[in-house]
Amino acid sequence: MIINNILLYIDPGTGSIILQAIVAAVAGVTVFIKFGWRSVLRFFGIKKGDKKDP
Amino acid sequence: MIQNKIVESSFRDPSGFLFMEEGRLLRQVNPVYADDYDFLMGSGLYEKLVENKLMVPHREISGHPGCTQPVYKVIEPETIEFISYPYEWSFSQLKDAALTTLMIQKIALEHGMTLKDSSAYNLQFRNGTPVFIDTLSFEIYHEGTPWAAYGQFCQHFLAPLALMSYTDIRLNQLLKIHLDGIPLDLAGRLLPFKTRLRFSLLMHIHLHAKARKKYEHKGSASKTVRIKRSNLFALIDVLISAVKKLEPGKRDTEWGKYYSFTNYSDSSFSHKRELLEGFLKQTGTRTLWDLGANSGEFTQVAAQSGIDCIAFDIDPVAVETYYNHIKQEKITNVLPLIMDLTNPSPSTGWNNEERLSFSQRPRPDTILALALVHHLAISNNLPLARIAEFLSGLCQNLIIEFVPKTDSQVRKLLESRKDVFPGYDEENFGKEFSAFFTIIAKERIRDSERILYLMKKNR
Repeated sequence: MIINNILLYIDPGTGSIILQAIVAAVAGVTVFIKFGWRSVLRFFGIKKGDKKDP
Repeated sequence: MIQNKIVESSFRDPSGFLFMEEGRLLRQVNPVYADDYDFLMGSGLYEKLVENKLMVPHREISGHPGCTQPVYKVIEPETIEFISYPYEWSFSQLKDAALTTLMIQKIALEHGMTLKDSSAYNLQFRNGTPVFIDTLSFEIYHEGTPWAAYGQFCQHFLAPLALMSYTDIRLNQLLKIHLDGIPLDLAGRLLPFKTRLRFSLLMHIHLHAKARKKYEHKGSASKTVRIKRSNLFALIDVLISAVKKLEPGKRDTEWGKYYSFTNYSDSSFSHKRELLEGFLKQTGTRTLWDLGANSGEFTQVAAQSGIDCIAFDIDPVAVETYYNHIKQEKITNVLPLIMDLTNPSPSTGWNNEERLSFSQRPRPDTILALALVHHLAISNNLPLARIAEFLSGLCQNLIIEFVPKTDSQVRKLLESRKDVFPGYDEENFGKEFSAFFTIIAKERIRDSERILYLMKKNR
């Protein structure tokens, strides 16, 4: 079971897990699109490489 | 196991606990945590976190003095001199602690581990910045596993930050009642409607609260949930962005602009500074609490002489201002905290022992109480004798300013109420404080009616 090890300490909450799965999926898609869009812009030379975090 | 020496903030975690041994703070690692501990130390995660000043370093202790229960390891973590709590932090202090937690979770995932909890009490301020103190919070990450501490993160960090930002900056005080973070349904009810229009707050707080209610008694559904590692990284990124976007709420406090409304002239201000510098030198102070510090104008006098300072103030805006100042100026020996001296932090949690009260924490050499006594005596009806007794319980040296009734600030306090303080004068002040302290020096502040005292606690 995936959840067994995390039941050891705090209760993650079923609602939190399900909501998290939805948010993470949406976030994953968003990041993918953002990354893809940046690649497109870079391909056409509209945008240069990402700035590094300070 | 050394029952009588266990530190009461650490007994919930089956992985180990903190205890005191001959004045040293040690952490026992239980055998059940052996694999996770070895992974933490062997994966490069520990080095990375310590190197980036995100977690306190520790050293392993050979031999396990006094331990009767099975022990895997005993470690000695670097100690934090003064433990503070989230309900004493200003908005940006809590925000920085939240971002540090998320940064740690991201680095942990990169190293094949995950945070098994994300309690705000796992962070403390060291040299001006938040640092993670719970070495046993990491566990080996299994592909597909959701982040067990996501809900706790929202309760401990996102909900109070959103409330302070959108509803009222004073709502961090809810953390004093809800030690495991603010329940999301409560946060949802207190937040204004417009927060439902912000995608991050709609998801992480409002819909999160609804999801929790819906699945309250349906434990089995979660066992089938799998989340890809890349999506977990994306989740951390959206949480970072949600936290970063939150800004402290605007509120005009009585103190926010205090220094533009004082009755000091430039000359009394600089004279007060000079007197303070002299008194601090005379006492050889190494640690200092500034009570009623406001945004730290005079705490800085002590800090600049290398004294470790904690600046307490009741006003969350003043504490926020001072924290931002020390952050910007990279000042490492000051910790600003929110504290109502007429109702200081109590000891709370299980058996009233999990979180220490204000007076249970390590006390300073010297207390600085400038422009404070009239607020306690007149605004809060506290007899001078009680104030003297309270302060004598906290320090050896006291630098205190007496503000007489003729001072315009005190006149203002008395404008709207009956003067029921016949004993509030310089003579009585000296008499009441002399019951607990010896007056070493007494100087009138130039161009003002105020008097600065240096006192030493009676033996």
